Amino acid sequence: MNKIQLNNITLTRKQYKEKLTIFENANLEVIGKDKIILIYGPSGSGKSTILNIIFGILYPEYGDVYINGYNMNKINADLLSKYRSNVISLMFQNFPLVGWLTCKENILLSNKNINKDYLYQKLKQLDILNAKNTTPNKLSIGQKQRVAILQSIMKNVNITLLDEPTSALGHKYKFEVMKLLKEYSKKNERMIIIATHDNDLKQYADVIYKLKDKKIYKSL
Amino acid sequence: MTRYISESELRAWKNNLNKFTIIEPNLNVYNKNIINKLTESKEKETLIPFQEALIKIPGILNTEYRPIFAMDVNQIKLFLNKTNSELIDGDLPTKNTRELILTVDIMEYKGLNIGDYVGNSIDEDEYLWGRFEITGILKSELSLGLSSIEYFKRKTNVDRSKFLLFTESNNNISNLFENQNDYKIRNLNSLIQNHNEKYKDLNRLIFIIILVLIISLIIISCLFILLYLKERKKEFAIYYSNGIKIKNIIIFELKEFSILIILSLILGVSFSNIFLLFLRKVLFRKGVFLATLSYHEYLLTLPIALSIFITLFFVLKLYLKPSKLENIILGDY
Repeated sequence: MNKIQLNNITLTRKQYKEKLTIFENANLEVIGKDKIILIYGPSGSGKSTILNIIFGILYPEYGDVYINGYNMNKINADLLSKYRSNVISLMFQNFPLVGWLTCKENILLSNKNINKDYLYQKLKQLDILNAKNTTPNKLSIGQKQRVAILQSIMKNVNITLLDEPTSALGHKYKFEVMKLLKEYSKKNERMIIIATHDNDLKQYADVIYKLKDKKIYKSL
Repeated sequence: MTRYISESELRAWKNNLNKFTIIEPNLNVYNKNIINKLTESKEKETLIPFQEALIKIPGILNTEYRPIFAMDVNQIKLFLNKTNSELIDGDLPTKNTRELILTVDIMEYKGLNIGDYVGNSIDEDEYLWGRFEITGILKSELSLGLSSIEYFKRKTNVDRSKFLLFTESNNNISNLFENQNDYKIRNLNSLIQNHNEKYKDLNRLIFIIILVLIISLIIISCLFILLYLKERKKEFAIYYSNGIKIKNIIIFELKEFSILIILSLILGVSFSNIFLLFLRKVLFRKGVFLATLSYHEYLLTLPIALSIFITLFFVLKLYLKPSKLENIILGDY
């Protein structure tokens, strides 16, 4: 069972020389193992910031963050490395891939022990099997995003964070991706947290959190 | 190449003076005195009076020479014995003739056969005066020619001789003489000393050129490393976000570069040797080209390898910081 707790967090960021408060005494508690969690909100509301806090890239100025027993405020480099290796994976909004590796090699970077047949099956499901031996710079942005999604979920962890995973996808692939994530979550008891502003994804979510007025509200 | 040309005298004499010492009495010293002294000395083993001339051989960019020793024909066999040399073809020179035997290397460099003639009567650029017939070929570690002394004495109108001294040990032969100004002693030490003195400035210049070359190579290598790591920083950021420790990324990169450096060294040394072989066997087939790569040259590659390694380590330490990698992964680069 995964447990994510953000207790009374306050976080400000500098934007155009001005201090901008993203969260003020915000709280979030997510418990579960095979759920699709949606963090929903308009652009600039702090969706990616929540994922970065959970991933251990950003730290709130005030408040506590606990993920599966890890106190993120007191985590050191060794523990953070362990945490990122065993507990969590994150697909960033710009879905970075290594340019000189093939798509298959990029996915294997996150987990080299993946069963090849299983991987090919998932590549086929997302219609990128033909691109498995192609380098990312020869792919469309939508294909790159699907490769990055597979890279994140193939990592053998308990929680996967996806930052706007369907931003570059058309309707067909958007739903295909969500279908795959849903199946994967159930089959592998994986908690998948998606930050998005896309209304269409709500139908796949088990729990939705909305961001409003520097706070996090549970809406489902 | 410059160093190689400057070392032509060393090549002419080094092997020879490894076997014997040459004693050149000054004009005011009678030959008999020196013979007496050396005969009385415990150090002496064999003393062979001789006169000398030079024979020309083709170099790469210059002409080189090798010595011709003229001695009593009865002592030629003794000389061959003392220098572990062997007549492999033809006959020894006979007394009072213009006959000559040459070592194999000289025969090959000059493209000569037994029965051919050499001397400035045949080739006016030749150092050896008159016309000598080649009667035999020597197999030897040395590179020289041997002839009968009578013709030399007639030609030079000098009865005096220099001496080839074969000693039992490598003791300093100059200790044998009371007044060292009376004799000029040529041995391996004096040869190298003279060479170093003569080419002091050239050697300094070569050292500076090599230093500049090495520093340039180090700078180029370091710039290459910087560009290379810049290209791969996104990859490192992905490793980092996957939970790989920075320390492990640095170790991995150092291992990767170690393999690259070792492979480059092996390939570099192999290609240099192949290039030298090409120069020797193809380009300068008829010239004297004995240059080889010694451990000195191989050692020169170490500072380059070491500086690449040190630069790599510091650049990695500078590049691979959590905040930088996180910025890369977040797209703030």
